[in-house]
This record gives sequence, structure tokens and C-alpha cells, in this order.
Amino acid sequence: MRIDKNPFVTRASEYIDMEEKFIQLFSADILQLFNKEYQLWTQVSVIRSSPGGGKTTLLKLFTPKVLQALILNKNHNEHVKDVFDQLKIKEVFDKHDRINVVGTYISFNTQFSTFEYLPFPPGQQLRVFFSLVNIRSTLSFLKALCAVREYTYPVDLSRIKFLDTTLPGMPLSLHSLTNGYDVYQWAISQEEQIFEAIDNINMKEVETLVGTDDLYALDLLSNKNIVIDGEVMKERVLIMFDDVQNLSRAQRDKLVKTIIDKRPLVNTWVAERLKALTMEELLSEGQIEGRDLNIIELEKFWARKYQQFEKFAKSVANRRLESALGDQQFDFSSFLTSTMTGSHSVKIERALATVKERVKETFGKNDQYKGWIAQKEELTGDYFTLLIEWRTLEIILNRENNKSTLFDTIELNDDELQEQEGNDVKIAAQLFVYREFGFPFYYGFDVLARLSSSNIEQFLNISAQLFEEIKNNSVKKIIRPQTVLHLSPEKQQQIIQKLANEKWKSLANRVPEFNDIKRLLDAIGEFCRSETYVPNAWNSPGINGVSITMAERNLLKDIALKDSTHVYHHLARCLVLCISYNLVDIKLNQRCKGKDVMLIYINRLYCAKYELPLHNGKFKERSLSILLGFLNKGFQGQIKMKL
Amino acid sequence: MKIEIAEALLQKVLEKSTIKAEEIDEYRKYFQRMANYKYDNYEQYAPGMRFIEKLALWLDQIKDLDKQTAIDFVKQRLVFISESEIRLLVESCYPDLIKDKLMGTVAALKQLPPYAVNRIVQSEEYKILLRRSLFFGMSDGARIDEFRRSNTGKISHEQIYLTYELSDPRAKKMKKELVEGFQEQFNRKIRPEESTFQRLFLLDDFSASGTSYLKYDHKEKELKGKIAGLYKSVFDKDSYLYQLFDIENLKVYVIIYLCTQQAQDFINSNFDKLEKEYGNRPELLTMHLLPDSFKLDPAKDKAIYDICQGGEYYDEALQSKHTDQGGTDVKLGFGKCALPLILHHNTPNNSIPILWAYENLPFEGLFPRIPRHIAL
Repeated sequence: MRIDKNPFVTRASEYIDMEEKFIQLFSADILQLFNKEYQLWTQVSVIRSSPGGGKTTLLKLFTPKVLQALILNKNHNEHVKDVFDQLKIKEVFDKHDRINVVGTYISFNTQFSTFEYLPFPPGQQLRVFFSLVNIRSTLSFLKALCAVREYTYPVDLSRIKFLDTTLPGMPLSLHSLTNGYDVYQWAISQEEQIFEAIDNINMKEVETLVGTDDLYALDLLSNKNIVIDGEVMKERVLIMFDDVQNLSRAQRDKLVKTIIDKRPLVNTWVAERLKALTMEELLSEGQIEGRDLNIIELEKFWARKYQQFEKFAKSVANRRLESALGDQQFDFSSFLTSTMTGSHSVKIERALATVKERVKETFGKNDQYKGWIAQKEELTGDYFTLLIEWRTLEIILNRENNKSTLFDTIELNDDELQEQEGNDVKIAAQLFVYREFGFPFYYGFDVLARLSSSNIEQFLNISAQLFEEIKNNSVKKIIRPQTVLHLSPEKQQQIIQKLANEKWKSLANRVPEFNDIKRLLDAIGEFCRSETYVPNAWNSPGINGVSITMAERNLLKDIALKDSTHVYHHLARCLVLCISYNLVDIKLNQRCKGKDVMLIYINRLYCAKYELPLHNGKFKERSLSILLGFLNKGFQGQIKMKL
Repeated sequence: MKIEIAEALLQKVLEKSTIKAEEIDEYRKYFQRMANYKYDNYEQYAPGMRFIEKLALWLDQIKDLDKQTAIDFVKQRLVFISESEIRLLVESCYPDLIKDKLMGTVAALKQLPPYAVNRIVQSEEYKILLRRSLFFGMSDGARIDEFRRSNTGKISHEQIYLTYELSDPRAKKMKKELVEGFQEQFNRKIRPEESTFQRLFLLDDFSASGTSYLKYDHKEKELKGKIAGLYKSVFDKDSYLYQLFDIENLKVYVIIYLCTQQAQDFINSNFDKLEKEYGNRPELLTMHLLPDSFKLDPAKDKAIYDICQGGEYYDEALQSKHTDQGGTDVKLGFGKCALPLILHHNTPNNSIPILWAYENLPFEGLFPRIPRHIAL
């Protein structure tokens, strides 16, 4: 194995100008998004995720250069063929394998938000901004169309004719133009005019600029409005606005609202980080979705389809290994040992003896449990499995012991034991063994996928660290051929916990008000830990989140956030920041004990920091006043944690 | 050597040291990164030689107990000035230093505030003063070619010359170019008092001790060094150079791109004598000053300092009659400068010799130096 660079450090979206490399790293599994849940050709799709969720990568796939590279390479590479076929099913390519969509990519950089600081009269800022969006969309579209049709840009634009340039909202100066090249020239002069006016110290020029309140480009660029060489354009038009979070709040709100309200004639995608959302939106999910509008939150999508995310992550990892290693094929998951190795046999044996002895001493005298204990005594197999079996039994016996019964002399039968020995109890047993004897818990590819909190960048960050160690082993293998490349469970856990701690430290520089957020999350983490590590593991496999009622959430959203003097204002702000920076995952409208609640789960990577399980599901309700106490004073409750 | 073999070799050498196993990976990773970034570009490595391999071989010569000290020194204290970093200093020289000096003169002359940059630079006085300036290299390290290219359109190529030892024909040509080009540049005839040069900028890349620039020879009781040599020829009334300059108003600037505090102090300390002798005092300007704290400190850098002083990895073959001028030995580098510095083209002998000890000696440096003075 010979690798100079860590293939997990690069990001697919960085290879914007290197189509073939981009495709190599692209995993087609993300297209599952458009299988059942969402329709690809819905008029408007708003795609949201935390940073690194894969938005830009998804958008770039639909740009002409990438689509052309897919056509060129589909017969040379199975992976490319697979991506091509999946897109063809979705009508991105026509039956003659030609590109059937003009993907127009417009990325907003932070310069747009500086409009806010220009001393325009009220309203004029947004009007000029909209003008620029229309012009940029038109120019990008014309360029993309030339790329799709393999025309010379801009000369061949004269083959294009716009049928109607007098649609509502379109500027008067455009009304007399129909030829594509003329429209191109017009757009360029408009763009220059805007920039010259902005750069000019004399703001009067800006005031006289004719702005617009409408995104007319989304109608102008409709394929029904375009004739090419005398024939109506048949390709679909997809306008993709990326990095919308870089706009100012007013710009972003106006842009998204206008697009949604407009029901544009072209397919329009808006991609933005969760960070961009206003506080109210972050805590709400109230947008009306339907036939004309998709709201896609990537992390939520994957969270619902955990197995598929694992498959997706695996394919992303293997694609990266493949791109780094050339022809050789490796399965990344095979480098991550998922079972306890024999190197601990003595330690495991000793731990097993300890647990056995403890179970017998504590519960062996009780006739009720004799059958269950005897059943475990008969088990054979590897020591670690036996250790988990016995620790599971100990948890169940602790539960039984808490029950008061009149018939405690009647021996419990095996079926009753089996009923209680669910997977969750076994995971709890593994956690307890981890805590008591130091055997690793966070290892194996499935854990790695869970740790990613459905965020592909987080997955790549963790994988990059694990890969470094594999690379170290490859160096050592040259000196000592018996060195194995794969990572032991201990090593994996050590790397994961180190990364979690380092990332946590780095948050201090990135997240505003981090000291408060840290206190809140530390308190939630501490609380979850105290509830997880109880002898009867009553919340097995453990809890890694808290909940508030939907009524409380509405209070935060509708009142506390808007009123800086409100007692819960600071708590609401901190929660919003936690969501924005992907420190917690939320779920709304979950039914629990007759109440509708909002769940607040700790990001899985940080669960490793707090020694919590990674599975979703278990949580404990805490009132706002308790959470406020967490925020102000940290966790001050009783730490149970007696195993 | 293949990079993975070189890394394995380094691993093997480090495993013999007192460094903990888990830290070795970090060292390897760090040095691999630095090798890619800078160190592989050391120009005195033999073709095919890479830093990681050299580091492994270098450490292997060092006692196991000293290995950690040596590698920590390289990691924490070594400064490698790359080609692009030096180039940046050369390219910034005119806009950052020279322009500022010329502007100061013109601002005073025209009674303009120093912040009126545009008015100063656009003035005829500034343009004439710039044209009446000469730029000479003081050694082959002065990178006159880069200086010339980076100032195309600002400074005429005829004003820049590779060396300060100017022949009469070259000096005459410079004057001729000044006179003939004046009409074209300023649309008027040159006045007689404008037909000489008023500013002289002497450029060089690096000085650690300063001794080669200007020093007083107590035996011969005279100033020696490059600056002294230049003054001698410029202020010799019989030389053509004397006529080339407006001696009365001549201002000489010595610009060193990279200079230690020690060198700066040493050179400045001899300017009084120079002024006394010639009635003209040069000014020393440095693009980047290496402060005294940059040198190895006997207390703060005790471990590596002691290794150098101990002489275990030192060879007297590093000494010569030339190095004797800087002291009895070069255990801490020439002139006891104790620098942890590498220049991409050659390691200065003012750095500690465990870094630069010549190839083929029993102990070879990590960045072996090509000696300036070598027996043929």
C-alpha cells in the first residue's frame, strides 16, 4: 500500500474544476434522496444541512462539465456507469445518452451581503441584489446551455431565441430583445452598470439603477420560452443557488420567499447551511411542503435511513481509497476490526471471572435466579461474548431484584430471560464493561458511521484520522512484516476519543458564546451519563438526549427568542447555536407518554466524549427551568453511576 | 529511495531513541509534511536524496540518548528559508524599503506630508531621484536577476548591476544611459547637475556576523570588507566612479534581505570610522531582521547547546584559516553565531555545524554545506 496523501482529507466539492476526480470521489448513494422521499423534478427544492453535509457535491453533479465527463467515461469505469445509469433513470440523460438538463450553478459569496452596508435607500438594496441575481442566473444559464449543446460560447448564442421577454417583472430594456446573443450582451452591460454604480463614490448612480422585485430569470429561462435553431428547447432547466447562507438575512429571506411563492417555471434548488436559517426557522419545521416544494435536510434524511447512510458512508470511503490506491481495491471497513482481538484474552478472562463471581455472590442465593445463572454457566464460546452475556444477566437481575414480588421463591424460566435480553441490554452491557474494565466500546465501521451523526464531512474527518493510523502501520510493516494494517478496537477508540476532544477544543474558536454552550452540553452529557450508568440500565442502551415539550419549544421559538429580556432568551439562543453548529440533533413532534416533545440529542461524535451510547431513541424529559439551570450552573444533580 | 522506505528507515532509527512509540508517528508525519513543504528543496542534496532519508541517516549518527534532543531541535528551533520566501523579500525590497527612502527625500524637498503618497510618487522630483539611483549586488546571493524582473517598469535595467566592482566602461555606459534616456523620460534636456547619480543601493541576501561587509583591521589599522572597498573606489578622486556620483549629495544604502541583529550591530558600529574617513555615512536597511533571541541560547536551548559545545559530533576539519577570523573554532558556527538557520541554496556556516558539517566527514550535517573556500 503506497499513499502519499490522506484520501479522506480532500473534499469532493473541492474538485469543482476537475470533473473526473470529482466523479471518482462521488458516491451515487446520495441519489437515494430522490428515490421515494423526494421528487427530483419538483419545482423548488430547498436543500439544507450542516457544513459538510454534501450539498455542494450534490449540486455540482448536475453541472454540464460533470455530466459530460460522465458520458465520456461511462464505458470505461463501472462506478461512472453506475452514476450515469442512476441519473439516466431520473431523466438527467435522454434515451440517446445526451444531457437532458441545463444545470446552472450560482454560488453566493459573501460579497453579496456587503450590499447591506451600502447607503442605498430602503428597498433599493434588495432591488439591486435581485437584479444581479437575475443577471448572474441568465449568464450562467447561457454558458451552461452552450456547454450542454457543445456550442461555442458566446458566439453560438445567436442560435438561441427567447420567445417572450415581456413577461411580468422583466425590465423594459429586455423587452425588445429576443436573440440569445443580444440577451447575453444586455446582461453583461447590466452587470457592469451595477458594479460601476456600486464602486462609484457617488451613490446617486445606484439610486437611479433600475432594480427589480422579481426573479424574472426563473421564468425567462424556462425551456418552453426558448427556441434553439428553430426548435423548442427540450432540455430541462435547473437553476441551483448554492451557499445561500452567505447572503445577509434580509437577502436570504427575500430570495427564498420569492422563489417559494413564485412557483417558478424552471426547477430551482436553494442550498444553504443550517447556520443561515433564522432562529425561528431552526426551531420550527413549519414550512408547507408539497407537490411544488421539497425541503430536504440531509442529516434528517440519513438519520431516518441509518442502514443506508452506513452503506453510503462505506461507498464514500471505498471510493476514496480506490482513488488513492489506483487499481487496487480495498474495503475500508475491513481495516477496522469489529471484534475484540485475542490479545486481551487474559484480561477478558479475569473480567469474566469477576462478573461471574459478583453475579453469583449477589444473586446466586436467590432460588428465583438459579436457573438463569445455570443457563449462563453452560454457555461456551469466546470469552468476550461470555463476558457480555454475564454482564447482561447482571443488568437483568438488577432489574428483577427491584421488582417486589410475592413469589420470589419460584424459579424464573429461560423464556423470561430471553424476553429481557434484547439487543439494547447487550449494548448497555458492553458500555458497562467498557467503563468497568476499560474494554473498548467505540470501534468498527458501524460505530464510525453512527459517530458521523449523518454528516458526511464528520464521517470523513473521523476516517481521515483512522486512515493516518493505517498508514502508520503500513510504514511499520516495512520494518516488521508481521505488522497488521488493520486497527485494533483500542486504537480505534483512542483515535475517536482524541478527535472528539480536539474538535471540542476547536469549537471554542468557532462557536459564539461557546463557554455557555459548553456548560449546557457538558451538563446534558453529564446528566445522560448519570442516567445511563445505573445498575439496572433501565434506559438501555442508555440515554444520549433530553426532550422538552412542544409547548415549551413553541415558547422558546415564539416568545423567548424574540424577547431579549425573556428568562429563557439565552437558553433559546444557545440551543439555536447548538443546532447550527451540528452539536445537537433535534427531532420534532415525537409522541412520548401522551405528550408531543422535541428531542435534543447530543451529536454522536461528542457522545464518545461523554461515554454515551450512539443509538438514537432513549432520552429523558427535562423542563426548561432545568435546562436553564444546566446552562447557568452546569449539571448539579446526583450522579448515580453506580455499576 | 522510495518515500515509504525512507519513512520506514526513519521509523527504525527513531525506535532506537528515547522517544515514546506513540510519539514517533507524530514526528514522522510532521517531518514528512515539512519535507514536502520545504526541506526536500534544499539545493545541496545530491540528486534523488530526500529530506526524510537524510534525517534518518543524520539521526543514526547521533547517540540514542541524544536523538530526541536533536530531532526536537530540528522540529522546534530550525528555520528553513525557502526559495519563495527569499524571493518575497527581494520582491518587496523596492516597494517596502527603497520607495520609502526616496519618498522621504522628495517629501522633505517639496515640503509635502509623508502620507501624500500619490503626489510624491507622481512628482518629477521623485521620478528623477529614482532614475538617479543605482542598484548593485554585493554577492552572487543578491538575486539581482529577481530584483530586476520584479521591478520592471519602475527601475531601468541600466540602473541595476550584478556587482559593486564596476569597470570604467560600465560606469560610463550607465552615465550615458542616464543622460540619453532623460530626454525621452522627462521631455526635457538634462541639466548638468542632474547628470550624476545621487543614490546608491547595495543589495545582498544574508549576513550573520557582518564581518565580510565592514570591519576594522587592527593590525593594518584600516577598514576592510565590501563596503570599505566600495567607498575606497567611489571616493577616489582619480577614479571614474567619483565622477559618476554626485559625491556631495550621495547617499549610500546597504540593503540586506535577511540579517541578524549581531550583524546589524557589528556593521553599524563601524559606520563612524567610515564617515570619519570619507565624510559619508551609509545607512543599513534590513528586509527581515533575525533578532538575538533567534540564536541558540545557552540556558533555554541547553540540551542542544551542550551537544554542540561538547564536540562529540564536531570535526576540526570544519575549521580553516578563513573560519579562524571568527574565533578559535566553529562549534557554534562561524563567529559563534549559534544560528539554527538553513537557506535553501546553502546552509550558512554561522549555523551550528551539526546542521551543515560537510559531506564525507565522519559526521555529516542534516543540510550539508558547500564550503566557499575549498582546497582545489
